Amino acid sequence: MRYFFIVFSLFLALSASGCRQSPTHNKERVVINYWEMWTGFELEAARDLVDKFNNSQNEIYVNLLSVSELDRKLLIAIAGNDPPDLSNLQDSGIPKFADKNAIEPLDDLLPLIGVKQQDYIDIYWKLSSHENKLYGLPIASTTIALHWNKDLFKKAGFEGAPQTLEQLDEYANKLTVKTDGSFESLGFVPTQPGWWNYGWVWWFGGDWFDGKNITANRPENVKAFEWVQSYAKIYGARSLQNFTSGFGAFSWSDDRFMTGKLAMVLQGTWMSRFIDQMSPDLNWAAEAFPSAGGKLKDVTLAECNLLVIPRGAKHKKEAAKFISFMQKPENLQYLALKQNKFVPLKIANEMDYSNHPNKEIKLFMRLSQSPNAHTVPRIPIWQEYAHEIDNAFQSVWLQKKTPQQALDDVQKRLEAKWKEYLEIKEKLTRAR
Amino acid sequence: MKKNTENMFKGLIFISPWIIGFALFQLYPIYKSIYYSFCQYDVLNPPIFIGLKNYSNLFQDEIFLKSIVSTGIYTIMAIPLSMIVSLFFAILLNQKIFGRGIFRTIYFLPSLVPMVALAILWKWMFNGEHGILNYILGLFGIPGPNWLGSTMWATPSIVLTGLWGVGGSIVIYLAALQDVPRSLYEAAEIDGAGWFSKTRHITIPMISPVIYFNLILGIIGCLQVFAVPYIMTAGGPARSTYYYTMYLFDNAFSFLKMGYAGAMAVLLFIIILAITFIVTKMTTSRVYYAEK
Repeated sequence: MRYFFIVFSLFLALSASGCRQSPTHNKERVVINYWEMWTGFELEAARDLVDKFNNSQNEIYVNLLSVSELDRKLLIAIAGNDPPDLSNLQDSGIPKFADKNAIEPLDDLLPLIGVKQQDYIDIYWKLSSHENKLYGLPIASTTIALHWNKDLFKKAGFEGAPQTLEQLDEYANKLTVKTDGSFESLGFVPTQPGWWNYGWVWWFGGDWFDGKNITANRPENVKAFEWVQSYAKIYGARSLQNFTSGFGAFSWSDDRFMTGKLAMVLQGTWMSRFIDQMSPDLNWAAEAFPSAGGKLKDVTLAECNLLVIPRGAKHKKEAAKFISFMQKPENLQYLALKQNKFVPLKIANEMDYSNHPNKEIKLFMRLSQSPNAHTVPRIPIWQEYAHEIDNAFQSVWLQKKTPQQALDDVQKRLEAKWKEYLEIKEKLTRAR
Repeated sequence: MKKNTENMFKGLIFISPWIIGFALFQLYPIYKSIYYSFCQYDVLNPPIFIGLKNYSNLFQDEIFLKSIVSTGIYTIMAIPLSMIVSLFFAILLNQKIFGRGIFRTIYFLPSLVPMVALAILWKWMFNGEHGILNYILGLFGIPGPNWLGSTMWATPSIVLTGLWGVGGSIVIYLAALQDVPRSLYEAAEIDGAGWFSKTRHITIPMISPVIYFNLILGIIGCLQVFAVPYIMTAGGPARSTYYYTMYLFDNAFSFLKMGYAGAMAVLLFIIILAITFIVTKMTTSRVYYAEK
């Protein structure tokens, strides 16, 4: 029995010491914890910069930690008053976190960080702010565009990317090969990759929020959802569903675009990285995704990752110093090259991108500066909203509801939620 | 008397790790979630007391009502199926056949596979294009559905996946089956009873407490189903597999409506309590306890 206790306490001692990864240079240095949402090559890029920072001075030591489901865990850590000093956050999380006072406004720290609004591409500054306050600084920015398979296009006799949405539908039809009632390959399908089901409305001139009100069932949105449903109707929902259910996750080698089974797909800046890895022989190009009637030029969704300082962080100044280091153009550029993204600064236009791994990077950068570049609605209840839209999208896709019905339902539910949110906000403001 | 108090004290000390753990990690959270169910609470801001508003909102919430219906459908499909299947296999595995031990192990093994691994595995088996299920159906010329992508087939698929976990109840049934006195079967055989009558009039009544036990546990498990649908369908398509606990989870951790989620948890507790009570009342006369 005694041996058991000895072994047991030894085990405990070992595991306890294992939990604490002691940094090598932390004597007299302030250690700040930095949570990163990425894994794989994106994490490696961040780690390189953290190492560079740690070696460049001897006052601060940044402890980088990759955290899954960061959004949720960060909120709980903040609520539990034990947050990291610094965290990566996706732009769509900013309104929610800011609204709940979960992250620190950075306006007062701007002189210390040494950047100003004019340096940034407008949309990324907007994505970093909420209600006229700055809550984070962008480190890697992206947009999305139409990726098309040049070989398949050539075979079908098409020269370049479609210029209007109607043309895209026509190309899609001709690029679709069906044998014995099942699909060999598809031209295009609006359920792929399925990450921006809410996004299609922008190519019809619609949106989900007008700055004051929920606008789920505005006519442009209904048109967009009618367009989505037309694919289920034309190609036969059932066989199309079976074909699309076979699609692997996009980073897998059986992704349909990469294996030449899908001729066109809406994808982001990072896609080329996966093509290089999984299917280097793929002959592809990218172009702005065409809008209905070709009326709107360069429509896209802009997204970015930001560095934020959580509420209750113990070393805000040190965290700000690291943010300042990360915001240096050469460091942002390093991250952009390694993560297949681009620099959110205006000077990005003059930067040398000849060795950027994405040959179409200039297109993605151009899209980010277009007047038709969109962001997801900057409202704290966006997550619930997106949840409702996804459900409506599925109902429309499975032809359980008409687009008008589905969007009317979203409108009704979200109007109530928006009203409730505003009421609670008022109550909380009074309570404070 | 003094001895008694001392014994009591010692006893308490011995079970104190459990008492402390229970109080800290169960009782306190339960108390808190009941309390928060009367508040608007988003974790980051102090709770605001709003009385019964969360509860009254729940009954006007279409998604909540729909989640109750879909959980009910799932339970009604899953309970009889899993009970019949597990009892059937338990009776088979109770026969004196060659390699019985090996078969028992084989049937128990799947229930040791973690839920998440199970869900991912089945997700591939149900895959509309590459899935093994549709491949086998295809051999017979039947075009299989897109199991998890169709509102009609998604719930049956999850029920089927759940059947993999029947190993646990098979073991419980087996133990009960071995407790049925041989003498009863012998007496019945003398009276000329066949396999079916013996099962109907001896086996089932004798193991009725265990059937009852498995029924109650099954109902509780079904009403709380989470991991498998969360991974396999994430509630889709079109919310056809959006069960009670998934909506609860989303409210708590995605939308940060802890008060609302608390109210859902309290209601779920009441629902489970009521169903257990009703089932107990309904089955009392049918469950046989030897000592009575």
